[in-house]
Amino acid sequence: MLSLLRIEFLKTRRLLRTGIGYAAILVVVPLILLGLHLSGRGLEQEFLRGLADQFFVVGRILNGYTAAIIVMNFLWVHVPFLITLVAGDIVSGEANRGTFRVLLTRRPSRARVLLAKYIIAQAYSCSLVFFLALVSLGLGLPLMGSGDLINVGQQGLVLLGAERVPWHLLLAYGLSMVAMGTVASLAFLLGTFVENPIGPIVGAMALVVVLLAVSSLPMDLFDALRPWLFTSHFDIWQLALEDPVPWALVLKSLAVLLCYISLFTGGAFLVFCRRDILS
Amino acid sequence: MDSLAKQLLPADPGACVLEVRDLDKRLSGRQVLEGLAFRLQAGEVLGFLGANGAGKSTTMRILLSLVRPDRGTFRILDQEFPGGDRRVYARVGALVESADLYPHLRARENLEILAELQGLRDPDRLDEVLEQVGLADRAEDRVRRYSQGMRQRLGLAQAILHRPELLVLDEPMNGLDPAGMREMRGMIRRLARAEGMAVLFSSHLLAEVEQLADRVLVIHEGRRVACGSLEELYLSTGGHLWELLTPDLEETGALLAELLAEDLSAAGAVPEEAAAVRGAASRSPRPGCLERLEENRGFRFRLLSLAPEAVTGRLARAGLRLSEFRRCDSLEEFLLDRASPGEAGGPREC
Repeated sequence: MLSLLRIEFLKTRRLLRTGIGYAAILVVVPLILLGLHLSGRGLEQEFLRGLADQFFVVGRILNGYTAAIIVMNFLWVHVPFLITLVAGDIVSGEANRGTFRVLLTRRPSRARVLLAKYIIAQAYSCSLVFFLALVSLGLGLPLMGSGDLINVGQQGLVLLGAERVPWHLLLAYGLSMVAMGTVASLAFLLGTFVENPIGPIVGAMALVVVLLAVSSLPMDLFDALRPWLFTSHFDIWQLALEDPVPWALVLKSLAVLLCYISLFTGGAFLVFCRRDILS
Repeated sequence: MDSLAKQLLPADPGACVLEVRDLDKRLSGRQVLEGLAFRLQAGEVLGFLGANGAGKSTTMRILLSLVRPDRGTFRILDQEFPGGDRRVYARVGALVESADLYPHLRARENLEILAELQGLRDPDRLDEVLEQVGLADRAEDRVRRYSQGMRQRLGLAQAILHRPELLVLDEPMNGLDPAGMREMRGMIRRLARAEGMAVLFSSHLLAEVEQLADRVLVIHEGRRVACGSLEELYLSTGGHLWELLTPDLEETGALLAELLAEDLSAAGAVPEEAAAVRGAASRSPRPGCLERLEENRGFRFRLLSLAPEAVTGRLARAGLRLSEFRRCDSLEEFLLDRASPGEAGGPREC
């Protein structure tokens, strides 16, 4: 299994599209941070104007931590697309290149080959979120410094002390890895059906966009459906920024996401292990 | 090598390496294979022939567990499939259609990956194989820079890297230039003779099959039409095919008609309509039939038991001139006769 993982890692690492996700983050995040740094004062004043009646704020509320949260909010729809580029290609790309004819005529079983691919796809998804955190905080903190984190939570304004923020952020990024893992699993599943990577990439993104719309549309028609859609739990990471953390809600969202991950992953194995390789 | 591979000894020369029994497969509503069966022994080269869509590639994909058969089984060495121990594939090498490896990786990296998948840990073997297929000086190039012929060589390299006992090659000559084809032919022959590999290879180049195969398996619309040595195949159509060119057309035709009737009687066949000289040459005359060649240059016919010397002797005694007299059996004739649409070995009139 370790050999398979090493091989999958090598193949994925050397693909151009693998680098696109990191490159996009490396370009977009510094731009957002720079924008916040240069014109943040105006945004800050606008935000504080609404609070001026109830609060007396001393110092700056825009710091490296706040910037990281703003970046997360900005990019939350775009990161899934970057993930599908690799997760959607990792199986269908082999079919497209015809390399399954070489790979699957070796002694490792299909299930083991697919498991190695799945682990690498999930590792890529996690690494992308980790990289987002690294760039956001790695550049944001030196540029804007640290401090308390003011966040608009479910119950209103939440103030986290500077010493507790790293732990809440760690949890937020951890939870977002689970949400992105769901997207990776979906693209991975779609990749087992087809022999062209465009299908799973576009298909997964289309489904995510449609379900995000359903999740956010305030219509009675979707009320019963909404809690069970995985896209309704994409913002699970925001729960980590509450004080105290609403663990019941976190666990419920985690359960829904993990159910989807199991469903998509099980489906992928079922399809792939029975499929005739005709490419 | 893992425990299974250690337990299994190399196949003895002549031992059955592959046995296929009653394979059926339906794809997209079409019966692609129907009751296909054959065997392959160690050190033997079996040529796999059939028209496009006859089921050759599907058969090979089934043998490599890329496609599941609807019915039937196959045995590779001592493992029965479907359901056998996949580790036996550490002893199988394959090149299915074009050799598509990872284009963004170097040739050596591709081989390293595939060697690792087979549990091979001998770095010298990589150099040896690259040298063998003539890619040693291009081993560090990315595969996307390779020509089709070079990719095919690399495909063969990955197939023989782990010294398999069974080699499955689907159209291995694809994309090769004449020199490359000759090298590939020599290599396959060497692998079978010197290393005792059993080789199953398909090709649409009949000359390649004729030069390379010990036995030939012919399928048509998923069914086995014939299987045997070239000699057996040619004889199964009713004797060797001969071509005789002569300037004395009418007299020679009359004499040959007599001779063929005698040949048929001697072989115990019914001389019904035998020796009727036909106006236009068909692709493959039946025993006892004499077919006139295009432009009235001579005749084609089959000899059952009559020696060719007896024919030339009779013609000489009758004072008839002979420009050329040669055996013209070919796989092309055989295939057109036995594996053409609507003519899967069925009876034909003379």
